[in-house]
Amino acid sequence: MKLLWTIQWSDLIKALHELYPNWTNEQISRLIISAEKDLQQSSNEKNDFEFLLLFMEDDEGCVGEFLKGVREQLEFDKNEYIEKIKNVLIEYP
Amino acid sequence: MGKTSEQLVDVLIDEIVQKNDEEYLTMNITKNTFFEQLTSEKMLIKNRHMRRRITGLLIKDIWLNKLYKIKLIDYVFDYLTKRFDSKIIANEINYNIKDACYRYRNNYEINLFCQILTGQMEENIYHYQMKEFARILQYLIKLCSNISSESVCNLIIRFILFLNY
Repeated sequence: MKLLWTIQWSDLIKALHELYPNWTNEQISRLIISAEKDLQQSSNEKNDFEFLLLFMEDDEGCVGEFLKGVREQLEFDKNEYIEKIKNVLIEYP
Repeated sequence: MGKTSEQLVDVLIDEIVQKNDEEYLTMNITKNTFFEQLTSEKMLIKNRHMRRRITGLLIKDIWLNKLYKIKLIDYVFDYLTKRFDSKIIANEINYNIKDACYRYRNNYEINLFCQILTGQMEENIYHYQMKEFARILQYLIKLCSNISSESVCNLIIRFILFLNY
């Protein structure tokens, strides 16, 4: 079955910036590279791509590289937040 | 989706290093984790040698069927009892899941499931991730202009897990 759900690579980059305004260009670039791996397609082309493929799981129920990257980024954000709180608590005992 | 060479090495290590050739699984009754709370006496549990793929699929199916309101820890045994139509088999599978969780602990999805069941992690970690994945997916769907009703149906079937969030 051919999927009809396509967007441009620039749309994905814009979407990530809008959804996660605190993520840096570098962090988002890393996610784009992961997405390229999942789709085996280069994001340099102005091509459309089937974004649903980024949300597929493999035959063991594992998510792809893109969602793994998102997961790691969320984990990173959480740890950064915890560190911030820790520092605040240390400063004001 | 193809696997990277790193993932393939992981699979190999799982299969080679983790010995799983006993006929029965040993039960250590400690009564303080999910897996030990179900039986009170020592009994032999048949080793079903659950492989990574089956473990992953079973875990996925448990998450899919579980209602948000019910805690995972309260649901797994009910799920297994219904699925196998027997408390005895449910108990056996339960211990086999525990064994598989240990053997495949370098698999993120399996490890997270196990850590939630044993109380080392909050179930919310899983829900938060799924909610964020759903948020990205929903945003991208809105960007997409070429929507037909047929593709909407296909999408809902494929992504029912995400759309729950």
